[in-house]
Amino acid sequence: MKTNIPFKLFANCILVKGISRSTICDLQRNDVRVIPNDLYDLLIENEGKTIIGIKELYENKFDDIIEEYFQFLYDNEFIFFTKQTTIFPKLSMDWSDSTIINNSIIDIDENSNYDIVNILKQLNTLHCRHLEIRNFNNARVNILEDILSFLNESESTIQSVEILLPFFKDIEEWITSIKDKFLRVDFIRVFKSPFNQNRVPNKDCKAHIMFTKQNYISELCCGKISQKFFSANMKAFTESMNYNSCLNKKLSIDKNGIIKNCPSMQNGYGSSDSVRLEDVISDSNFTKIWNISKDKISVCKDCEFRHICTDCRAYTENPEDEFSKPLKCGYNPKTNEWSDWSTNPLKEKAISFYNLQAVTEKP
Amino acid sequence: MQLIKIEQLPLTFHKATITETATIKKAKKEHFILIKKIGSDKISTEKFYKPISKIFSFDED
Amino acid sequence: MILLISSKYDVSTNNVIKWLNYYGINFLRLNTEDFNSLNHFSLSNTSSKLKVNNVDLDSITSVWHRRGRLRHVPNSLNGLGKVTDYLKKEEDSLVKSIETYLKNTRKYIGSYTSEVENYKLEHLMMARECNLNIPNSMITTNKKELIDFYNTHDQIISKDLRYSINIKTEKICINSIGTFKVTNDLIKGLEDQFAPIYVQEYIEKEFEIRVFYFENKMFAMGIFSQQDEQTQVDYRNYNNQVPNRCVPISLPTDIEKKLLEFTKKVKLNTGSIDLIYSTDERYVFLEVNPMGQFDWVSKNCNYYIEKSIAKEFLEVCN
Repeated sequence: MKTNIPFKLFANCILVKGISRSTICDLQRNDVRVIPNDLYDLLIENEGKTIIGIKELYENKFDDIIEEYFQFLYDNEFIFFTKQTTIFPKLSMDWSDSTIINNSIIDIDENSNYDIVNILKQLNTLHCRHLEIRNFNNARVNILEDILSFLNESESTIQSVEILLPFFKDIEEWITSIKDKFLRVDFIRVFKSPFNQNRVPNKDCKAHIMFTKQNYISELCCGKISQKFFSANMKAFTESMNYNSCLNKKLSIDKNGIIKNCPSMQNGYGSSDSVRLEDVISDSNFTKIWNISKDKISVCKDCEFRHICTDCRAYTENPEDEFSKPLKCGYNPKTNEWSDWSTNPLKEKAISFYNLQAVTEKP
Repeated sequence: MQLIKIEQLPLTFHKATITETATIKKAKKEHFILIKKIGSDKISTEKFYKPISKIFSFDED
Repeated sequence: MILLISSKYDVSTNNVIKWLNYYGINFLRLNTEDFNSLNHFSLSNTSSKLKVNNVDLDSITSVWHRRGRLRHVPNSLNGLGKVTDYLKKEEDSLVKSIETYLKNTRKYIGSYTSEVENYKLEHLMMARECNLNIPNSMITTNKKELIDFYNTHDQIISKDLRYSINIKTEKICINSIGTFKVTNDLIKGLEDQFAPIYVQEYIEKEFEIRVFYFENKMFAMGIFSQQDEQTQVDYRNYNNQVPNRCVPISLPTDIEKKLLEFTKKVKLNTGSIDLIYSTDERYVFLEVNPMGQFDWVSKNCNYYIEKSIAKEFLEVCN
């Protein structure tokens, strides 16, 4: 450490202040570190000064703590020392994307009978990049294969496909049969499996495959907030600064073929068999929700994790309030503790409003 | 290579990495997808930068 | 319509195309790996006409020459040894002339001619003319001179004069490792006379700077490679576990002006410039790569370079 040369934070290490503590989000190395708010304030006020100078500002009463702080920052390469403090600008927080719709969820269950190919064709004209197909109840591999074949044949703009489906007897053989044929598939999540297993992509299979014993009965199981869903990367962070981190540029089809922002939302925009996706997107009611960024959501706006976290507008603590905190979040930014959201007595009313009782029961 | 007098080659040759061609061919087996609108048959897939839906994570098991 | 000349594998081209699609700009992408059928390139007293792959290039308003060059010799004529060499030379002359024709009649960004004429020494001289600092450099075929140069500098590095080595035979592949430090042992292993060797004083750096530019727009990124043994000499010796810190830089106006002057002088309207900011507080010009990668500059600095390139063409189309 050079205590007599001014320090700068690397522009891709971004400070986010919460009500009780802060984070440094390292958007280059996909890392998050929790720091005290005192350090946050110290960095905001003193960036561009020398460590010696900062110690003096505090009348040399806190030299040990200041040293410890900067050693931590230096060891993790969050800061560097330079006299050229003016040539390092802050990172631009712009987010933009060359699609009209960039991701989509298509839900199917045993009763679904809407025209999926018709939707895929339209998603292609909307430049859609990422698709998740969620197959509830019984596995319908014929439909899944039809979808994947169509994406191959039409050379679709959809470049990655994630599949959620229930376990069935010959699932291993099925995965083997599709993995090299449909290279768009990059994630397969299997629920109601007899075992838990996580298979990361490897030479033999480029798709990530996960098995869980959990049973996911429907879209009611979505909207969870968890550290497991955090993404500390530049695209996700800047999107969250400007737009809703779940729903921005998303378009979904629920299991009945209804066009929605996400399948869990109450609001539908008509049947995909009769309404064109393009017309839905030009409806400002559909797109206005894209602008609800975390800084506008109660509780989230005080949370140190807000810009690396996901959001949920379908299940919120107060269903009447569009800026209410996600219901399925068990984190309290005041106490910094995670607890089980489903057993929180304050959430009971909302849980029964959404009919979520069944999904909160543990297997 | 024995025919070339290495001592008279530029230093960049002395430091270059030499690999057997056969091993390179094997490692280069890559998978590509086709996207009509982009006009290349050599497009690697790219993972989405965030989870699309939030149903399945291992934290509850 | 825009003509894109690029490689099938080029990610940056794909990303620019996504924006062209978004803005609804028509384009024709020709890949350098494919044989491109030349219908005609015809000249008369009153007109010039060009048609490739059955597309009339009269409708092309601008060209982005991203990488490589088009191939007009059928694949079946490869591997004929000296005959193929001859045909390639003929093709080279054709391709360069087509480039000149298109350049004279429309907006043309990038260049095959400049890519093959990537003469690092000429660039150093031009940079010096623009009052940019350059490292002490020497090219020699003589061991004694090399030893003298080595002795008068703390440390020296060596690199290729034009292209990095990339030789592939049926049995082995020889690949350049980029820039490296020259050691006493390396020099000892040389004969008294050798093929030209390019050496430079090693400049202790605070950070490196990669500037991608496209016409008059400059996008600069600082690369902090000094702490890391693996990348100390050249950041291209990538460290994949923990990537070097890469952050946006706003270059001082006078440096940006000099660089812009340099790009005009070398007649490269797009490229990537490598600079060093030295520990003795100087900006030092190292080299320019006419077709350098910019995807990582764009991503690390959140610059959306692909979007601004597409926008440049949007202006031409309207």
